[in-house]
Amino acid sequence: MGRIKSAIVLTLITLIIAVLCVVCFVPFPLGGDGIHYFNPIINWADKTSDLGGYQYGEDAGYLGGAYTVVLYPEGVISAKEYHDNGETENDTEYVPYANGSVYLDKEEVCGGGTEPTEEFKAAFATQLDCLKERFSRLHAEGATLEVRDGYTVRATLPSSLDASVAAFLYFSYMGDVTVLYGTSSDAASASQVIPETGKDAKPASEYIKGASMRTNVGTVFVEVDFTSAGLDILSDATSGAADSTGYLFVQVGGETVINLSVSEQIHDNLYISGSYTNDSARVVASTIDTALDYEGDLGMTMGELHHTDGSFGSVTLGSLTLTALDLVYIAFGVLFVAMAVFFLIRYGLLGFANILSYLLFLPLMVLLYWSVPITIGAGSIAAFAISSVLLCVSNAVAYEAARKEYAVGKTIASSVKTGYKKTFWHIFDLHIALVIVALLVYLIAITELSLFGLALTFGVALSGICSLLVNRFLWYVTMGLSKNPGKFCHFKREEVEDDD
Amino acid sequence: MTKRFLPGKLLPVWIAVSAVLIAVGVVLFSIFGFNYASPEKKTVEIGYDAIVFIEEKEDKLAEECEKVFSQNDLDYTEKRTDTELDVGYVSETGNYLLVYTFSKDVSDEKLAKAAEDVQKALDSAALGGTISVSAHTLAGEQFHEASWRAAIALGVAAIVALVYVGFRFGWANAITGLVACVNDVLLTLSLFAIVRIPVYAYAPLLFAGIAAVFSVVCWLIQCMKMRENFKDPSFSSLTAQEAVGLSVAGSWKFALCFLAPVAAVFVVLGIVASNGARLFLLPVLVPLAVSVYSSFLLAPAVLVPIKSKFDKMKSSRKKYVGKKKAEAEE
Repeated sequence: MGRIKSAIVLTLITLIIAVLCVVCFVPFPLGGDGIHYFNPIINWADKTSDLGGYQYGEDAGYLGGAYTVVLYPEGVISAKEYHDNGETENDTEYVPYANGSVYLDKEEVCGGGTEPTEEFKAAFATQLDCLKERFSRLHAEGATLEVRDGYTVRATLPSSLDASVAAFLYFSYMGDVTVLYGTSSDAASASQVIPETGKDAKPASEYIKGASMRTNVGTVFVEVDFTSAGLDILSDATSGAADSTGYLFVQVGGETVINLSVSEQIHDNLYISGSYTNDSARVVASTIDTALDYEGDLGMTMGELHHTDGSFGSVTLGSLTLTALDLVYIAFGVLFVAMAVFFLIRYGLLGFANILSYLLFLPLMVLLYWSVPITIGAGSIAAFAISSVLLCVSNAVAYEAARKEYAVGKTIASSVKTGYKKTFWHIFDLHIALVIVALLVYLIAITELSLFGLALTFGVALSGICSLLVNRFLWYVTMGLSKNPGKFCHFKREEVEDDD
Repeated sequence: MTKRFLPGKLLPVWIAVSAVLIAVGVVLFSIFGFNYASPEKKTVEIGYDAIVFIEEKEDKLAEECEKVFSQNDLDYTEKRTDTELDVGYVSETGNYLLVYTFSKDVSDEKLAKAAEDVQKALDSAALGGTISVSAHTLAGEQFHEASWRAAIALGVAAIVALVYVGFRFGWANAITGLVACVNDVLLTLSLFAIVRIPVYAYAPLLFAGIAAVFSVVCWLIQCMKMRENFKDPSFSSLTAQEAVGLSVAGSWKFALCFLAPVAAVFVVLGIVASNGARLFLLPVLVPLAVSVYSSFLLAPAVLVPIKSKFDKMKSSRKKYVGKKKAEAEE
């Protein structure tokens, strides 16, 4: 490629990379009013609950960080509620517990004493197991459950999960599953059809096998799977639905989780679609399914909802507070500079080919993180670091192979060709093996490990493309700028001793 | 005469080292589990409303709290401000929660007294608005589904990846790689259980995943080097022991090209990171070190007897084919 042609192509590539980098990383004012700013893609990408949050848009939504609530079992109240209710130390209805951190209902929880009864402890343990099962089924990165003060539960979900708040609310519903049917949209006027009431009352699990989240051609729905006995009852109850619309309610612990109108007799399982997302359908299905498995009717109420910044913490330097994510960006910046300096010293101006290929890899990764989406967290940061190293090492391996070829007297074009030929399968094998591992880990594992697998799959695949295609092309283009390609690449010929 | 590296001779040593460490790790894990960074912690929470915020008295509030903590000889490990949100609209209510986290070793009574003192100090400071102070103990719960799914994922991924290695580099290398990968994952987890490095609840699974990745990379590097070297005619006269030893001894530069930058990246990330992030980033060096151990010491030692067996099978097959040919010619 001629010098002018090379210069033009290189300028175009640099411009494209610069635009991509600006779109992905640089916020800038829009409209000149000092209010509107362009929010770079990196800010839009989802963050796990470990990393600091970003505020975006006029509605002050949050990305990053987590939502937390404290769930209180029936008969347990917070110290704040106790004092807000005007209760006093002389009050006999509640007794302080855990040095006054919570207050327990003297009769309901302590059976007239000052310590919780064994019955309450067993009921709380069952509810805790049920909550663990429910939160675990969400497969949300950064979801945590902590027992607070012995008898309350602090739950945390990443704010990137679109059904976080619904999950807290629905998961606090404890008790039996019931199905009600009536002709009014008000659940209070509907009659219970499942489980059958009366002398031979059986548990709901005799009528409902379970509930699950399903998707079909982009539509997300909740399936409620009935037993034949359950279907018979449902069919009988809805026999008149074709004439006048009926309303069906699926409740857990007396709280409605599914509410639908029925215009024809039901003969089959319920498949409920509508405005469900993957997350919200999973929340509803998990609530019903686990309520069938865990017996117990100790109700729970939700405390205040809070947004908390990342659990990885932050660093304050004078008036400047840097979140964990800011520090990760700074660390990657330092590493980028170190990498650039190393490549420029070792390979001269050829180092620019590696820098440009990395600068293309970087915004493309950010775009993938945002669009797939891949939540930015510990796993995806580790995957990004590993794939970045893989790209730079692959480039360096190709450069070194070409250096050896050049040293023995080949032309630079031939050295590059032979160098790549010799290293192609090394680089290819490494990338393919890693993509296989990463992809399978993503498909089988859940939460953070799955996230690591997904981020590594894209990172390694992109590293392979950037190393084997982009870098080679950039080498070809940059070399056109120099009259002395050997000097350009800091390559030297081997000195041959003359026998004469 | 130069001393040659004969990896097969030390096979019992490396098996013993790995087996002992894994066994100790399993025992310690079953008794104590991992040293989770926050299985139990204590907090003092100060809830305040918009008036404190509007009158810009948040700094004064924090100052008063910290004064009381220092009077009570209490050092907090973390401080954060949570924003209260309305459940219906998920919008800010104007109330905030200032949370101080303390070590689990602080006694409940001491913390309760500190909370009481903080409440008194804030009441007398007249910051306006309603302020409530409470002390809490938190104990983390573990989700188990992620663990068995991770074990299956890593097992399947390692087997499939090493089937690829089998096709490309031979089945002896694939079997050895699988042994190395399983060893690396188990040894990494064992070291975390033995050394009691504090980890986040999800971190052991991630470290196991990272160990599998490093293991595959390190072993692939050895496989590439061996394939390259074994083509050299000078290697054909060597025994499996000598050939593997010579190849491994000459591969460290090649392996260092990948290992050194990875180590450097995680060290820099760990140094620059916040305290919380450091707890994840620096321990990544453990799976890296384990992979170096297995790819340079254990795996070559395991490969020697397998390669000898495969070489014997190959030569006897050759002899058999040769005999058949000779018989046919006669």
